[in-house]
Amino acid sequence: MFLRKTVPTIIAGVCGVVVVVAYFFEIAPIKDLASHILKWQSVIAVFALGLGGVNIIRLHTKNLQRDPKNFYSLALLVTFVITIVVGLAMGQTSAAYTFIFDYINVPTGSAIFSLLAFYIGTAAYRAFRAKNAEAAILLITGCIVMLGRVPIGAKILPFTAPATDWIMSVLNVGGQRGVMIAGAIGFIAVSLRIIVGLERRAYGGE
Amino acid sequence: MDILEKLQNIDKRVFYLLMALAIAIPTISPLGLGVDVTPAVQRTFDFVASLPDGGRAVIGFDYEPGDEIDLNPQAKAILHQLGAKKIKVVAIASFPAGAMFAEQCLAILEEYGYEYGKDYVNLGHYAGGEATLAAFANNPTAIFAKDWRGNDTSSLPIMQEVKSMKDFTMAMTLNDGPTGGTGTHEWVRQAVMAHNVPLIMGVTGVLAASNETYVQSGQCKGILAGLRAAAEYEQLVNKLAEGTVGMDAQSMAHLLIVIFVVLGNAAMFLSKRAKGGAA
Repeated sequence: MFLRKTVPTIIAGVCGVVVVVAYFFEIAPIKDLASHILKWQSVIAVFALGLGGVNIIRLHTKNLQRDPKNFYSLALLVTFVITIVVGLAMGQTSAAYTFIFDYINVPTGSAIFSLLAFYIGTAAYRAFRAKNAEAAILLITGCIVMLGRVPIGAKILPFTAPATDWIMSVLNVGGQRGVMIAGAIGFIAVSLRIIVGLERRAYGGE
Repeated sequence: MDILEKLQNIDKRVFYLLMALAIAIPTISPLGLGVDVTPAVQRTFDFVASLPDGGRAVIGFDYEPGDEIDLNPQAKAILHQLGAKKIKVVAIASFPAGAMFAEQCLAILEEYGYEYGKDYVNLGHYAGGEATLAAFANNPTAIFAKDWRGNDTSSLPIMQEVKSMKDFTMAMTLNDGPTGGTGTHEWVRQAVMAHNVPLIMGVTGVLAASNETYVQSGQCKGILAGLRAAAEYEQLVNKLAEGTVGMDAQSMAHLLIVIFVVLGNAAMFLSKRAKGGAA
Protein backbone atom coordinates (compact mmCIF):
# COMPACT_ATOMS: atom_id res chain seq x y z
CA MET A 1 0.00 0.00 0.00
CA PHE A 2 2.78 2.41 1.01
CA LEU A 3 4.84 1.67 -2.11
CA ARG A 4 1.86 1.48 -4.47
CA LYS A 5 -0.09 4.53 -3.29
CA THR A 6 1.77 6.73 -0.82
CA VAL A 7 5.16 6.89 -2.55
CA PRO A 8 3.71 7.74 -6.01
CA THR A 9 1.47 10.36 -4.39
CA ILE A 10 4.43 12.00 -2.65
CA ILE A 11 6.53 11.89 -5.86
CA ALA A 12 3.68 13.37 -7.93
CA GLY A 13 3.01 16.06 -5.31
CA VAL A 14 6.65 17.14 -4.98
CA CYS A 15 7.28 17.07 -8.76
CA GLY A 16 4.05 18.93 -9.49
CA VAL A 17 4.69 21.69 -6.96
CA VAL A 18 8.34 22.14 -8.03
CA VAL A 19 7.54 22.34 -11.77
CA VAL A 20 4.60 24.72 -11.26
CA VAL A 21 6.62 27.01 -8.97
CA ALA A 22 9.54 26.98 -11.43
CA TYR A 23 7.18 27.96 -14.28
CA PHE A 24 5.87 31.03 -12.47
CA PHE A 25 8.83 32.20 -10.33
CA GLU A 26 12.53 32.84 -11.00
CA ILE A 27 14.05 30.92 -8.06
CA ALA A 28 17.36 29.40 -9.18
CA PRO A 29 17.42 26.23 -6.99
CA ILE A 30 13.79 25.43 -7.81
CA LYS A 31 14.48 26.03 -11.51
CA ASP A 32 17.42 23.61 -11.38
CA LEU A 33 15.37 20.98 -9.60
CA ALA A 34 12.50 21.41 -12.08
CA SER A 35 14.95 21.08 -14.95
CA HIS A 36 16.13 17.72 -13.53
CA ILE A 37 12.55 16.54 -13.04
CA LEU A 38 11.70 17.41 -16.65
CA LYS A 39 14.74 15.50 -17.86
CA TRP A 40 13.71 12.44 -15.82
CA GLN A 41 10.26 12.75 -17.31
CA SER A 42 11.64 12.64 -20.85
CA VAL A 43 13.69 9.53 -19.97
CA ILE A 44 10.57 7.85 -18.52
CA ALA A 45 8.68 8.79 -21.70
CA VAL A 46 11.29 6.95 -23.79
CA PHE A 47 10.81 3.85 -21.63
CA ALA A 48 7.05 4.21 -22.11
CA LEU A 49 7.64 4.26 -25.86
CA GLY A 50 9.65 1.04 -25.57
CA LEU A 51 6.93 -0.54 -23.43
CA GLY A 52 4.41 0.42 -26.11
CA GLY A 53 6.51 -1.44 -28.69
CA VAL A 54 6.76 -4.52 -26.46
CA ASN A 55 3.01 -4.39 -25.85
CA ILE A 56 2.29 -4.28 -29.60
CA ILE A 57 4.53 -7.31 -30.18
CA ARG A 58 2.86 -9.28 -27.35
CA LEU A 59 -0.66 -8.41 -28.49
CA HIS A 60 -0.13 -9.34 -32.13
CA THR A 61 1.89 -12.47 -31.27
CA LYS A 62 -1.10 -13.63 -29.18
CA ASN A 63 -3.41 -12.79 -32.08
CA LEU A 64 -1.29 -14.95 -34.37
CA GLN A 65 -1.20 -17.81 -31.87
CA ARG A 66 -5.01 -17.72 -31.68
CA ASP A 67 -5.45 -17.46 -35.44
CA PRO A 68 -2.39 -18.23 -37.61
CA LYS A 69 -4.25 -16.85 -40.65
CA ASN A 70 -4.48 -13.38 -39.09
CA PHE A 71 -2.80 -11.57 -41.95
CA TYR A 72 -3.00 -8.11 -40.36
CA SER A 73 -1.12 -9.13 -37.20
CA LEU A 74 1.45 -10.97 -39.30
CA ALA A 75 1.94 -7.95 -41.58
CA LEU A 76 2.31 -5.68 -38.57
CA LEU A 77 4.90 -7.92 -36.90
CA VAL A 78 6.91 -8.42 -40.08
CA THR A 79 7.02 -4.70 -40.92
CA PHE A 80 7.70 -3.84 -37.27
CA VAL A 81 10.69 -6.17 -37.12
CA ILE A 82 12.05 -5.12 -40.54
CA THR A 83 11.82 -1.41 -39.67
CA ILE A 84 13.51 -1.89 -36.29
CA VAL A 85 16.28 -4.07 -37.71
CA VAL A 86 16.94 -1.66 -40.59
CA GLY A 87 16.85 1.34 -38.23
CA LEU A 88 19.20 -0.23 -35.68
CA ALA A 89 21.58 -1.92 -38.10
CA MET A 90 21.82 0.69 -40.85
CA GLY A 91 20.78 3.88 -39.06
CA GLN A 92 17.81 6.18 -39.36
CA THR A 93 19.43 8.27 -42.07
CA SER A 94 20.35 5.26 -44.22
CA ALA A 95 18.95 4.82 -47.72
CA ALA A 96 17.07 1.65 -46.68
CA TYR A 97 15.35 3.33 -43.72
CA THR A 98 14.51 6.40 -45.82
CA PHE A 99 13.11 4.09 -48.51
CA ILE A 100 10.78 2.43 -45.98
CA PHE A 101 9.62 5.85 -44.81
CA ASP A 102 9.25 7.48 -48.24
CA TYR A 103 7.75 4.57 -50.14
CA ILE A 104 5.81 2.59 -47.52
CA ASN A 105 5.10 4.62 -44.40
CA VAL A 106 4.17 7.95 -46.00
CA PRO A 107 2.11 6.59 -48.94
CA THR A 108 0.12 4.20 -46.73
CA GLY A 109 -0.49 6.94 -44.15
CA SER A 110 -1.57 9.36 -46.86
CA ALA A 111 -3.77 6.74 -48.54
CA ILE A 112 -5.63 6.01 -45.31
CA PHE A 113 -5.99 9.70 -44.54
CA SER A 114 -7.19 10.47 -48.06
CA LEU A 115 -10.13 8.11 -47.56
CA LEU A 116 -11.54 10.87 -45.35
CA ALA A 117 -12.28 12.92 -48.47
CA PHE A 118 -14.64 10.17 -49.60
CA TYR A 119 -16.19 9.34 -46.23
CA ILE A 120 -16.59 12.94 -45.10
CA GLY A 121 -18.05 13.85 -48.49
CA THR A 122 -20.77 11.20 -48.38
CA ALA A 123 -21.36 11.83 -44.66
CA ALA A 124 -21.86 15.55 -45.37
CA TYR A 125 -24.22 14.76 -48.24
CA ARG A 126 -26.37 12.51 -46.04
CA ALA A 127 -26.17 14.45 -42.75
CA PHE A 128 -26.39 18.06 -43.98
CA ARG A 129 -30.16 18.18 -44.44
CA ALA A 130 -32.07 21.31 -43.42
CA LYS A 131 -34.71 19.45 -41.42
CA ASN A 132 -34.96 22.21 -38.79
CA ALA A 133 -33.57 25.70 -38.12
CA GLU A 134 -30.43 24.48 -36.28
CA ALA A 135 -29.59 21.99 -39.03
CA ALA A 136 -30.13 24.70 -41.65
CA ILE A 137 -27.74 27.08 -39.84
CA LEU A 138 -25.11 24.32 -39.59
CA LEU A 139 -25.45 23.39 -43.24
CA ILE A 140 -25.32 26.97 -44.53
CA THR A 141 -22.32 27.78 -42.34
CA GLY A 142 -20.57 24.58 -43.40
CA CYS A 143 -21.12 25.25 -47.09
CA ILE A 144 -19.92 28.87 -46.79
CA VAL A 145 -16.73 27.78 -44.99
CA MET A 146 -16.11 24.93 -47.45
CA LEU A 147 -16.35 27.32 -50.39
CA GLY A 148 -14.62 30.23 -48.67
CA ARG A 149 -11.58 28.07 -47.91
CA VAL A 150 -10.82 27.31 -51.56
CA PRO A 151 -10.08 29.63 -54.50
CA ILE A 152 -12.99 28.40 -56.61
CA GLY A 153 -15.44 29.44 -53.89
CA ALA A 154 -14.31 33.05 -54.02
CA LYS A 155 -14.57 32.98 -57.82
CA ILE A 156 -18.13 31.57 -57.90
CA LEU A 157 -19.50 33.34 -54.80
CA PRO A 158 -17.17 36.20 -53.82
CA PHE A 159 -18.92 36.79 -50.47
CA THR A 160 -17.84 33.37 -49.15
CA ALA A 161 -14.20 34.41 -48.51
CA PRO A 162 -14.97 37.38 -46.18
CA ALA A 163 -17.90 35.47 -44.68
CA THR A 164 -15.58 32.58 -43.85
CA ASP A 165 -13.10 34.94 -42.20
CA TRP A 166 -15.92 36.40 -40.12
CA ILE A 167 -17.30 32.99 -39.13
CA MET A 168 -13.84 31.76 -38.13
CA SER A 169 -12.68 34.87 -36.29
CA VAL A 170 -15.93 35.87 -34.56
CA LEU A 171 -18.39 33.00 -34.16
CA ASN A 172 -15.77 30.28 -33.95
CA VAL A 173 -13.40 32.11 -31.60
CA GLY A 174 -16.22 32.93 -29.18
CA GLY A 175 -17.19 29.27 -28.93
CA GLN A 176 -13.61 27.99 -28.85
CA ARG A 177 -12.64 30.37 -26.03
CA GLY A 178 -15.47 29.06 -23.88
CA VAL A 179 -14.46 25.47 -24.51
CA MET A 180 -10.76 26.17 -23.90
CA ILE A 181 -11.30 28.13 -20.68
CA ALA A 182 -13.66 25.48 -19.31
CA GLY A 183 -11.22 22.73 -20.30
CA ALA A 184 -8.30 24.58 -18.70
CA ILE A 185 -10.18 25.04 -15.41
CA GLY A 186 -11.00 21.33 -15.38
CA PHE A 187 -7.36 20.53 -16.14
CA ILE A 188 -6.17 22.71 -13.24
CA ALA A 189 -8.66 21.04 -10.90
CA VAL A 190 -7.53 17.52 -11.86
CA SER A 191 -3.85 18.52 -11.62
CA LEU A 192 -4.39 19.94 -8.13
CA ARG A 193 -6.18 16.76 -7.06
CA ILE A 194 -3.22 14.67 -8.28
CA ILE A 195 -0.69 16.96 -6.58
CA VAL A 196 -2.45 16.81 -3.19
CA GLY A 197 -3.12 13.08 -3.53
CA LEU A 198 -6.90 13.14 -3.90
CA GLU A 199 -6.84 11.71 -7.44
CA ARG A 200 -5.49 8.16 -7.25
CA ARG A 201 -6.78 6.71 -10.50
CA ALA A 202 -3.56 7.84 -12.18
CA TYR A 203 -1.75 5.19 -10.09
CA GLY A 204 -4.14 2.42 -11.02
CA GLY A 205 -6.45 2.81 -8.00
CA GLU A 206 -10.17 3.65 -7.76
CA MET B 1 -38.33 5.71 -57.03
CA ASP B 2 -38.82 9.17 -58.58
CA ILE B 3 -36.00 11.52 -59.46
CA LEU B 4 -36.37 13.57 -56.25
CA GLU B 5 -35.94 10.51 -54.07
CA LYS B 6 -33.00 9.36 -56.16
CA LEU B 7 -31.30 12.73 -55.68
CA GLN B 8 -31.68 12.35 -51.91
CA ASN B 9 -30.14 8.89 -51.95
CA ILE B 10 -27.43 8.92 -54.59
CA ASP B 11 -25.35 5.75 -54.45
CA LYS B 12 -22.14 6.48 -52.58
CA ARG B 13 -20.14 4.69 -55.28
CA VAL B 14 -21.23 7.42 -57.72
CA PHE B 15 -19.98 10.03 -55.24
CA TYR B 16 -16.69 8.15 -54.76
CA LEU B 17 -16.13 8.01 -58.52
CA LEU B 18 -16.88 11.70 -58.99
CA MET B 19 -14.67 12.60 -56.01
CA ALA B 20 -11.80 10.55 -57.44
CA LEU B 21 -12.15 12.35 -60.78
CA ALA B 22 -12.50 15.76 -59.08
CA ILE B 23 -9.17 15.18 -57.33
CA ALA B 24 -7.30 13.32 -60.07
CA ILE B 25 -8.04 15.56 -63.06
CA PRO B 26 -6.83 18.88 -61.56
CA THR B 27 -3.81 17.10 -60.06
CA ILE B 28 -2.78 15.69 -63.44
CA SER B 29 -3.75 18.79 -65.37
CA PRO B 30 -3.80 21.86 -63.03
CA LEU B 31 -6.59 24.35 -63.69
CA GLY B 32 -4.53 27.35 -62.59
CA LEU B 33 -7.31 28.85 -60.48
CA GLY B 34 -4.84 30.92 -58.50
CA VAL B 35 -5.19 31.96 -54.88
CA ASP B 36 -5.69 35.35 -53.29
CA VAL B 37 -3.51 35.96 -50.25
CA THR B 38 -5.65 36.17 -47.13
CA PRO B 39 -4.89 38.60 -44.27
CA ALA B 40 -3.92 35.74 -41.92
CA VAL B 41 -1.19 34.48 -44.24
CA GLN B 42 -0.03 37.99 -45.12
CA ARG B 43 0.27 38.76 -41.39
CA THR B 44 2.43 35.66 -40.88
CA PHE B 45 4.62 36.53 -43.85
CA ASP B 46 5.00 40.12 -42.62
CA PHE B 47 5.93 38.92 -39.15
CA VAL B 48 8.72 36.68 -40.47
CA ALA B 49 9.84 39.47 -42.81
CA SER B 50 10.12 41.80 -39.81
CA LEU B 51 12.59 39.52 -37.99
CA PRO B 52 16.25 40.59 -38.08
CA ASP B 53 18.33 38.82 -40.71
CA GLY B 54 20.62 36.15 -39.30
CA GLY B 55 18.40 35.33 -36.32
CA ARG B 56 17.56 31.85 -35.06
CA ALA B 57 14.33 29.89 -35.41
CA VAL B 58 13.22 26.67 -33.75
CA ILE B 59 10.71 24.68 -35.78
CA GLY B 60 8.71 21.77 -34.40
CA PHE B 61 7.80 19.18 -37.02
CA ASP B 62 4.91 17.84 -34.98
CA TYR B 63 3.07 15.74 -37.53
CA GLU B 64 2.79 12.25 -38.94
CA PRO B 65 2.23 10.73 -42.39
CA GLY B 66 -1.19 11.73 -43.68
CA ASP B 67 -0.85 15.36 -42.63
CA GLU B 68 2.31 16.05 -44.61
CA ILE B 69 0.04 16.96 -47.53
CA ASP B 70 -0.88 20.17 -45.70
CA LEU B 71 2.23 20.72 -43.63
CA ASN B 72 5.20 19.84 -45.84
CA PRO B 73 4.29 22.57 -48.38
CA GLN B 74 3.87 25.05 -45.51
CA ALA B 75 7.26 24.08 -44.09
CA LYS B 76 8.98 24.37 -47.46
CA ALA B 77 7.41 27.74 -48.25
CA ILE B 78 8.40 29.26 -44.92
CA LEU B 79 11.91 27.76 -45.14
CA HIS B 80 12.37 29.65 -48.42
CA GLN B 81 11.66 32.88 -46.57
CA LEU B 82 13.90 31.95 -43.64
CA GLY B 83 16.63 30.93 -46.07
CA ALA B 84 16.46 34.24 -47.90
CA LYS B 85 16.80 36.04 -44.56
CA LYS B 86 19.71 33.79 -43.47
CA ILE B 87 17.83 32.85 -40.31
CA LYS B 88 19.42 29.78 -38.71
CA VAL B 89 17.06 26.87 -38.16
CA VAL B 90 16.90 24.26 -35.42
CA ALA B 91 14.36 21.51 -36.12
CA ILE B 92 12.85 19.21 -33.50
CA ALA B 93 10.03 16.69 -33.79
CA SER B 94 7.58 15.22 -31.31
CA PHE B 95 6.83 12.35 -33.73
CA PRO B 96 9.50 10.04 -35.18
CA ALA B 97 8.12 10.72 -38.65
CA GLY B 98 8.43 14.46 -38.03
CA ALA B 99 12.21 14.13 -37.96
CA MET B 100 12.11 12.43 -41.38
CA PHE B 101 9.89 15.20 -42.77
CA ALA B 102 12.24 17.78 -41.28
CA GLU B 103 15.16 16.16 -43.08
CA GLN B 104 13.29 16.40 -46.40
CA CYS B 105 12.16 20.00 -45.93
CA LEU B 106 15.41 21.37 -44.51
CA ALA B 107 17.21 20.38 -47.71
CA ILE B 108 15.71 23.56 -49.20
CA LEU B 109 18.06 25.63 -47.06
CA GLU B 110 21.05 24.34 -49.00
CA GLU B 111 19.77 26.35 -51.99
CA TYR B 112 20.55 29.40 -49.86
CA GLY B 113 24.10 28.31 -49.03
CA TYR B 114 23.27 26.89 -45.60
CA GLU B 115 25.72 24.48 -44.01
CA TYR B 116 24.51 21.61 -41.80
CA GLY B 117 25.50 22.02 -38.17
CA LYS B 118 26.47 25.66 -38.65
CA ASP B 119 23.34 27.22 -40.10
CA TYR B 120 20.75 24.51 -39.56
CA VAL B 121 20.34 21.29 -37.68
CA ASN B 122 17.80 18.50 -37.38
CA LEU B 123 17.81 17.41 -33.74
CA GLY B 124 15.34 14.63 -34.38
CA HIS B 125 12.56 13.09 -32.33
CA TYR B 126 11.87 13.56 -28.64
CA ALA B 127 9.42 11.60 -26.51
CA GLY B 128 7.47 13.06 -23.62
CA GLY B 129 5.50 15.89 -25.18
CA GLU B 130 5.23 19.14 -23.27
CA ALA B 131 7.50 18.15 -20.38
CA THR B 132 10.35 17.40 -22.79
CA LEU B 133 9.67 20.59 -24.74
CA ALA B 134 9.93 22.45 -21.42
CA ALA B 135 13.23 20.70 -20.68
CA PHE B 136 14.46 21.54 -24.19
CA ALA B 137 13.47 25.17 -23.61
CA ASN B 138 15.66 25.26 -20.49
CA ASN B 139 18.66 23.48 -21.99
CA PRO B 140 18.44 22.17 -25.58
CA THR B 141 21.62 20.10 -25.62
CA ALA B 142 20.66 18.31 -22.39
CA ILE B 143 17.68 16.76 -24.17
CA PHE B 144 19.33 16.22 -27.54
CA ALA B 145 22.80 14.89 -26.85
CA LYS B 146 22.98 13.78 -30.50
CA ASP B 147 21.23 15.15 -33.58
CA TRP B 148 19.20 13.09 -36.09
CA ARG B 149 22.37 12.30 -38.06
CA GLY B 150 24.20 11.06 -34.97
CA ASN B 151 26.50 14.07 -34.39
CA ASP B 152 27.23 15.29 -30.86
CA THR B 153 25.11 18.41 -30.57
CA SER B 154 27.60 20.10 -28.25
CA SER B 155 30.12 20.01 -31.10
CA LEU B 156 27.81 21.77 -33.59
CA PRO B 157 28.42 25.52 -33.95
CA ILE B 158 24.70 26.31 -34.16
CA MET B 159 23.99 24.54 -30.86
CA GLN B 160 26.82 26.37 -29.12
CA GLU B 161 24.86 29.57 -29.76
CA VAL B 162 21.66 28.20 -28.25
CA LYS B 163 21.58 27.88 -24.47
CA SER B 164 17.82 28.12 -23.97
CA MET B 165 14.57 28.91 -25.77
CA LYS B 166 15.26 32.61 -25.17
CA ASP B 167 18.08 32.45 -27.74
CA PHE B 168 15.57 31.93 -30.57
CA THR B 169 14.12 34.94 -32.34
CA MET B 170 11.15 32.88 -33.48
CA ALA B 171 9.45 29.57 -32.76
CA MET B 172 7.19 27.69 -35.11
CA THR B 173 5.21 24.52 -34.79
CA LEU B 174 3.94 22.60 -37.79
CA ASN B 175 1.22 20.72 -36.04
CA ASP B 176 -1.43 18.10 -36.67
CA GLY B 177 -2.85 18.04 -33.16
CA PRO B 178 -1.88 17.02 -29.65
CA THR B 179 -2.57 13.28 -29.95
CA GLY B 180 0.74 11.52 -29.42
CA GLY B 181 2.89 14.59 -29.95
CA THR B 182 3.29 18.15 -28.74
CA GLY B 183 0.24 20.26 -29.55
CA THR B 184 -0.04 23.95 -30.31
CA HIS B 185 -1.28 24.73 -26.78
CA GLU B 186 1.92 23.27 -25.35
CA TRP B 187 4.03 25.43 -27.66
CA VAL B 188 2.12 28.53 -26.52
CA ARG B 189 2.80 27.64 -22.89
CA GLN B 190 6.48 26.73 -23.28
CA ALA B 191 7.70 29.13 -25.99
CA VAL B 192 5.47 32.18 -25.58
CA MET B 193 4.33 32.20 -21.96
CA ALA B 194 7.47 30.78 -20.33
CA HIS B 195 10.17 32.34 -22.53
CA ASN B 196 8.45 35.16 -24.41
CA VAL B 197 9.56 33.87 -27.81
CA PRO B 198 7.21 34.87 -30.65
CA LEU B 199 5.40 31.87 -32.08
CA ILE B 200 3.82 31.14 -35.44
CA MET B 201 1.81 28.04 -36.25
CA GLY B 202 1.31 25.94 -39.34
CA VAL B 203 -1.64 23.65 -38.79
CA THR B 204 -3.91 21.35 -40.74
CA GLY B 205 -7.15 22.89 -41.98
CA VAL B 206 -9.26 21.32 -39.23
CA LEU B 207 -7.08 22.77 -36.47
CA ALA B 208 -7.51 26.36 -37.64
CA ALA B 209 -10.71 26.76 -35.66
CA SER B 210 -9.22 25.84 -32.29
CA ASN B 211 -6.05 27.92 -32.76
CA GLU B 212 -7.54 31.14 -34.09
CA THR B 213 -8.03 32.21 -30.44
CA TYR B 214 -4.26 32.43 -29.95
CA VAL B 215 -3.90 34.75 -32.92
CA GLN B 216 -6.54 37.13 -31.60
CA SER B 217 -5.03 37.07 -28.11
CA GLY B 218 -1.61 37.96 -29.59
CA GLN B 219 0.02 34.79 -28.24
CA CYS B 220 0.51 33.59 -31.79
CA LYS B 221 1.95 36.02 -34.32
CA GLY B 222 0.53 34.23 -37.33
CA ILE B 223 -1.19 31.07 -38.40
CA LEU B 224 -1.06 29.06 -41.60
CA ALA B 225 -4.06 26.77 -41.94
CA GLY B 226 -4.15 23.91 -44.37
CA LEU B 227 -2.97 23.56 -47.92
CA ARG B 228 -4.48 26.86 -48.94
CA ALA B 229 -2.18 28.77 -46.61
CA ALA B 230 0.76 26.88 -48.12
CA ALA B 231 -0.36 27.89 -51.61
CA GLU B 232 -0.67 31.53 -50.54
CA TYR B 233 2.75 31.45 -48.88
CA GLU B 234 4.28 29.93 -52.01
CA GLN B 235 2.90 32.91 -53.89
CA LEU B 236 4.35 35.35 -51.36
CA VAL B 237 7.83 33.80 -51.51
CA ASN B 238 7.46 33.36 -55.27
CA LYS B 239 8.09 29.60 -55.18
CA LEU B 240 4.99 27.92 -56.58
CA ALA B 241 5.02 24.22 -55.71
CA GLU B 242 2.83 21.39 -54.47
CA GLY B 243 0.63 23.67 -52.34
CA THR B 244 -0.50 25.59 -55.42
CA VAL B 245 -1.06 22.41 -57.43
CA GLY B 246 -3.02 20.83 -54.60
CA MET B 247 -5.38 23.78 -54.29
CA ASP B 248 -7.03 23.02 -57.63
CA ALA B 249 -7.85 19.48 -56.48
CA GLN B 250 -9.05 20.74 -53.11
CA SER B 251 -11.22 23.37 -54.82
CA MET B 252 -12.93 20.77 -56.96
CA ALA B 253 -13.40 18.38 -54.00
CA HIS B 254 -15.02 21.09 -51.86
CA LEU B 255 -17.19 22.20 -54.75
CA LEU B 256 -18.37 18.64 -55.38
CA ILE B 257 -19.36 18.18 -51.73
CA VAL B 258 -21.29 21.50 -51.72
CA ILE B 259 -23.04 20.56 -54.98
CA PHE B 260 -24.12 17.22 -53.50
CA VAL B 261 -25.32 18.88 -50.27
CA VAL B 262 -27.32 21.46 -52.23
CA LEU B 263 -28.78 18.78 -54.53
CA GLY B 264 -29.81 16.63 -51.59
CA ASN B 265 -31.51 19.55 -49.83
CA ALA B 266 -33.20 20.90 -52.97
CA ALA B 267 -34.59 17.43 -53.69
CA MET B 268 -35.78 17.12 -50.09
CA PHE B 269 -37.66 20.45 -50.22
CA LEU B 270 -39.20 19.77 -53.63
CA SER B 271 -40.23 16.31 -52.51
CA LYS B 272 -41.88 17.71 -49.34
CA ARG B 273 -43.67 20.35 -51.39
CA ALA B 274 -44.88 17.77 -53.88
CA LYS B 275 -46.14 15.54 -51.07
CA GLY B 276 -47.84 18.56 -49.40
CA GLY B 277 -49.51 19.49 -52.70
CA ALA B 278 -50.68 15.93 -53.27
CA ALA B 279 -52.16 15.80 -49.75
